[in-house]
Amino acid sequence: MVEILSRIQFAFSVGFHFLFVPLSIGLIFLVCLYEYNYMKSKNLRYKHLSEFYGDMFVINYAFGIVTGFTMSLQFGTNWSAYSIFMGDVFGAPLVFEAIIAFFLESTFTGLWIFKKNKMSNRLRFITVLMILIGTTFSALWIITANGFMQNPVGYSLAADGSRVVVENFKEILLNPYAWYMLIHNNTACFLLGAYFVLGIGAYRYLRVDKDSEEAATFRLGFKPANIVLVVMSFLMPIIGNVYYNYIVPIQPTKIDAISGGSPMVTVSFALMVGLGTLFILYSTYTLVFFKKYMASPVMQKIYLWSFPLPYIAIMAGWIVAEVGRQPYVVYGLMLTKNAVSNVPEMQVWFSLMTILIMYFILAVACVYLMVKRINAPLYKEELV
Amino acid sequence: MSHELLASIWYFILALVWAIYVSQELFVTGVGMLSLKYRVEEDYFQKINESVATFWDGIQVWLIVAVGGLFATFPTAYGLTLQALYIPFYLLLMAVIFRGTSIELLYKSDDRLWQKAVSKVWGVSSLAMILIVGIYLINLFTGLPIKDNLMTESFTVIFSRSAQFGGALFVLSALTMGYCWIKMTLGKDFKTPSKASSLWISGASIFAVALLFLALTNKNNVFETGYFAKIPALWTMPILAMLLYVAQFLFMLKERYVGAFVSIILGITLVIFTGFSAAFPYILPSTVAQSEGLLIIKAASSQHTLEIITGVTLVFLPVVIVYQGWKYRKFWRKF
Repeated sequence: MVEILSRIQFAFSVGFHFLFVPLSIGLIFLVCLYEYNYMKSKNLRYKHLSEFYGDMFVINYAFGIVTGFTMSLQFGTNWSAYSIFMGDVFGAPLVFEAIIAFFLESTFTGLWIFKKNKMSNRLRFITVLMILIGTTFSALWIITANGFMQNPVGYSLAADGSRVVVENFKEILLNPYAWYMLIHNNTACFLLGAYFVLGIGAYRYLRVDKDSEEAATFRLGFKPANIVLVVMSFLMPIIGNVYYNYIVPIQPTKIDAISGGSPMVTVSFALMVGLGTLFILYSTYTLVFFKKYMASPVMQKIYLWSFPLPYIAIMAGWIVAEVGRQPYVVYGLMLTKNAVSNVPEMQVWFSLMTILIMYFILAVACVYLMVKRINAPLYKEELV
Repeated sequence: MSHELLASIWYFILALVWAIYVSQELFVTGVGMLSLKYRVEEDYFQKINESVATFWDGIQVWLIVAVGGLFATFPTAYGLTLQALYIPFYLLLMAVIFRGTSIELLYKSDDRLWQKAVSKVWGVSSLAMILIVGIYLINLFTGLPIKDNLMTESFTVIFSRSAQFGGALFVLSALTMGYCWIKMTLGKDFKTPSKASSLWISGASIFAVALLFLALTNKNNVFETGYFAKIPALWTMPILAMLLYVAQFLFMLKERYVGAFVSIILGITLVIFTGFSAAFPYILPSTVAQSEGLLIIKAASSQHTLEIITGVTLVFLPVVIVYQGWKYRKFWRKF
């Protein structure tokens, strides 16, 4: 029972965490783009775009970082056998993530939130660039750790077989599995970010006078976002295909799961591919007929009402990657059922319930804040 | 360098990371707790919030490094400690989550009701957070009732006499440091809770630190078994810590807030190093029998891994310290 509860808890908390992370990565990329344009052109509309979407980044980021704590904690509390067996390999990327990525990300996000109006345009751009670099490195390290769980390389078993030890760290770092995952993942995040910008932008744009300052601001923002969306949509199947062909000999059980062995994985895979195709078609259509798209409320509403779709595609992708890895926690090395902690069942009930209640509160707060920000004036009049 | 030496060095690096983290967390949680007592105008309150919120998440990463560092360098200790302290760690998680989101999102909505509710969450979770951190650290020094790698008693055993005094010490230090931080960043004339109450708090922390060491000596005998018995020079650490706590009180009396602030940082650092030195060479001492404790060397990662982590840390941590230092210098008084 401890195993089942811990699995539910882990799946739930990682899924919840991953609602925030891809949007943070994707949004900061676009914010960086707008901020760069602002620095170059001094056009205040770019600044307003950057701050509007920047606020949404911040809200997402805050929930992303605190729900990330739960993830690292669980390895010790609920999966201590895993921690002890894998720690030599798995711990290092996590602490590198903190030292190399989190510090950068968080130090500069703090600046961005509270001091962005007290710095030069150049420093503003550098600040968001540092956050972007931080989020990218963060993805790199956590996926390096996950890549090892998918395709263990560069390790050996300790003499008594009690744990794995690092044999060649370079191999772990250059694990092709991790790099395919990273590129696939971050491309999906940028896609989601661009889609979100178009969807939320449409909501505002549809309600304002088309000759207004605000309408002009959003029009300025849509073009780069649409371009990003098209580029990422086209990259996805190319990367995905190479990635898939790479997996075929390495994880035969995952391929079996995709081709009908596990209904959940099969459906998720189909959903991911189907939605990916849809993104290519629609984003290309709006970009080619951009003028028509700007004039058509229906075409804009499609982005607004379909904005959950990229989320669904990303979740489906992770289900393929992680559920497809079962019954192993570390492919070929350790079964998930052997990874669990030796703790009383009541304690796991306690943590599961705590997390459910806490995350419900967080979800309500997040939706409330996002809706509030989306409906608030585009920018605050600055006090001089 | 031998594996054992490298592992021992990492044990004390973790102590240092804890000290760096706690030194900063004290003023952040302190300001958070004090916010419960504020009756000032709205924009003043916002200034107080922003003065710490700007630095909050950079500081929080030090906690991740302390916990993640334990995972990377002593995976066995990580697995066994978190398994043993399952409930306390989830309580800490709750405090971390509510403190983090409330401090960051307090002003993300203009709604008065939201701001009122969230600022209460901010204050209460700050108190919970620093209290749990204090209690956790003291338990690392005294050890847990562990036999065959499992807890033999309920988790409530962590609220020992020593841990109670330790928790009190952390809370009182946080309040004093938070008070100093506000005075330092927002100016001496900034309205705060009365000076008298801050002096009571500052003075009480002298007793807390003395009682903590007394309890560690008499109830847990931590100084009898380890290196304190062999190397009397180590006693300078707890003695100096107590003197620094006296000093911070004198600084507070004289309204020398920088002096008080620095004294507490040094004082709490020495408390942490005293504890880590007392537990050495056990990373998780057992109160059931000494032989049941987990030795540093037994818990450590392989030599190769420790060397890689050392290399990366030596390259990147100075960079982090440089840009975080730059941020403090440039922005701490900018409103």
